[in-house]
Amino acid sequence: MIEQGAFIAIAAVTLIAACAVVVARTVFVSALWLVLSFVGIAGLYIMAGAYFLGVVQVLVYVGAISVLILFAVMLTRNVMAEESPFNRETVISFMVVGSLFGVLAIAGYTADWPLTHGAVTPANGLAVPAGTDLGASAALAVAAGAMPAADPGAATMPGTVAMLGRSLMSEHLLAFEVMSIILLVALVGAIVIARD
Amino acid sequence: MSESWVFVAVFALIALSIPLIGLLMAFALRPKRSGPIKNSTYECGLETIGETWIQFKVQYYLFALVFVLFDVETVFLYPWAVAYNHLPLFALVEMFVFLFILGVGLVYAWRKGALEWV
Amino acid sequence: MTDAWVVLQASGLRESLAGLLSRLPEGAIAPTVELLMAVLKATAIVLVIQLGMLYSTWLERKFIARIQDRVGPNRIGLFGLGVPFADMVKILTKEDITPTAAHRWVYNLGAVLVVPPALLGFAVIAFDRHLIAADLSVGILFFFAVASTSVIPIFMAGWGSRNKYALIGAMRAVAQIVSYEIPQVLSLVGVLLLAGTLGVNELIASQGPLGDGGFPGVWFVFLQPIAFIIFLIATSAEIERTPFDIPDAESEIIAGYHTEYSGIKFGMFYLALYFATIAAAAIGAILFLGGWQPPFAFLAFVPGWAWMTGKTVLLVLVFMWLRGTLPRLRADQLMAFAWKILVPLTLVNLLLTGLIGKLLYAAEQPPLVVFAAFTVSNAVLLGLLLWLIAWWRERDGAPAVRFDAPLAPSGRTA
Repeated sequence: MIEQGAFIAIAAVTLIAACAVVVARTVFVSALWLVLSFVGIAGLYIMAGAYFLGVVQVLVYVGAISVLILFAVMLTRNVMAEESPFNRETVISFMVVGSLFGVLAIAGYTADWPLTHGAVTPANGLAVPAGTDLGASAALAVAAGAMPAADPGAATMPGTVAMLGRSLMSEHLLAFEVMSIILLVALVGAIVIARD
Repeated sequence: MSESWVFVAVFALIALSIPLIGLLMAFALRPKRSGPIKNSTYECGLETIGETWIQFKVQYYLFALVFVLFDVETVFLYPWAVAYNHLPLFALVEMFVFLFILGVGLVYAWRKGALEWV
Repeated sequence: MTDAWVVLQASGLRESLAGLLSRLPEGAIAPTVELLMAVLKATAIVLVIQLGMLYSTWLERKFIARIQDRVGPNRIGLFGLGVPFADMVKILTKEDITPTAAHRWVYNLGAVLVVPPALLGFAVIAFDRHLIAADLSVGILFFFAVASTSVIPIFMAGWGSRNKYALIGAMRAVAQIVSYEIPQVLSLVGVLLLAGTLGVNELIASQGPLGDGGFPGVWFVFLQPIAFIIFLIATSAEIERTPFDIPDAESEIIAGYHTEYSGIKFGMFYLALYFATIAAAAIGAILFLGGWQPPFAFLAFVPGWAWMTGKTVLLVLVFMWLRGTLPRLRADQLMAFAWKILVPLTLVNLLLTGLIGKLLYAAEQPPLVVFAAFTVSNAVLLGLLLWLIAWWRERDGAPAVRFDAPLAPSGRTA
């Protein structure tokens, strides 16, 4: 019951903030509302049991990307200007946005999302001792019999972050290394553009 | 949940209310005699010169950008460090490659003057 | 002994609360009890930290005064102990001058929102083995994530004031905070490699002797002294204390991003600064000085919270010592120091620690060998740090300072 209420509250904050981004009259204030929606999303991650991801969301999005966005906003010439956020192309924009939303919603609803049990089994080499909090969705998976329950006799004590580290280094190693190349490319590209 | 994130939420609300309580107390206690000169923007006691916008230096943006990149790198470093004792020696090499590539980025930014403060 | 006492108290409280609420419908009792416990814990923490913060302002003024060979406040109360309360009264009763041009919401919210990030970090600080409000599995990262959100209110304050100088001050402050955040979080990776966890109590436990032991069994400061130094430097810069207080300095850009704030709203920035200092000292004590662990097992009769308080106060004094002794860094020196010296150093530290960890610890060499290896690697790092600083000074063109030569007419020493 409380979980439901909390979810509704956090989701409401996120959505209202997202709408406010579009409706605000000053660019800076739009950016601030965006930051609030980032915080809301972090709250949603935490409710889903992805604690590391939620904390990373705050660290990277609120702490770093928001700063980048705010600095970029400062680049706009008339920082204090107030302008109406509405223009006249209402029908076309509604059609475009509506169809995009429809596609995303249908895809999200009907897709077969893999559950967390893929990374949590003892077969992975990391035994999960009793009491490790795996989050609500994993608990559901255990209850549904899709995932073996925690082994109370397990000796190792890893936890989700360690599992993440391990899978980064083994199954997803290529993605991990490519990530660094992507970051490098982003850095070089931004510097090249900014220097002009 | 066995983790006390509920406490975090409660604590956040209470932490938010502390400044509000302070503001309320001050509102009750302070004098309220405002005037046009008091309320004008402060510029070393002189009148405001020019519009209130500043020449933006791209340096700020570049610092924030390099920061974002290294922040993301940190996000990858933390799980690696936590899982380190369970990983084979090769994991060190893998991380070395990762850091080397980003190190190249840092050196590039350095040489191109992105890290200079104007 | 103390641990058992604390746990007993808490469970007794829970039962009495449940008893009080027995009139509520069955399903609502447990969550309400939890909520009330959370509120009580939060209030207790806030009160204790608030008191600590008030007296840290007193400590700062007295300590820095003594460093500067003067006495400090001694009029109000014995030894000036009433000064924090006098300060509070002053701040509450000052007139609030809001510039007409300011953007009301952003201006006011900026002042209000500086405090929560500084305060929220205390949720994961362990004052004793069982006195940790929220032992999250990602506790350490939570602390730094919350701390990193403090840049947003600064930006809001600068922009919302509609004052050129406030805006410039805010952008400079944000650039500084952001630049030093990387060395700060990277310096911890070495500690994480040794501890193998992000959870606060586990991290403290791995620093032995009262903990579960594990590899190091010693405080991490002995294995990662350079990381500790880098952490202290980076954290000083994060909370904008001298020698990193360019955005704040009175002789520089007036008062930077809080120029247009008076009375209680200014007080909020002040509050946030001291909360952040104490929080930073506490997390430093947890990460490097063993938290609530005593240095030797035979000293275990002294309660954990006493050790924790002592270590936190020690680090707070170190921050104040730095403030009272070192001159301010120039803005460009500031950035160069962070990116060109500290960041490479932390990366090298991380790799060396990883190397020693795998080659020696995993191969189960005796602790003395591992310890010696760490000493060697830290010596290497120290050498690297000194060399980098010397190289940078030379590049910077800093004139050689000679105190014996008379000043040349141009005002420069020879």
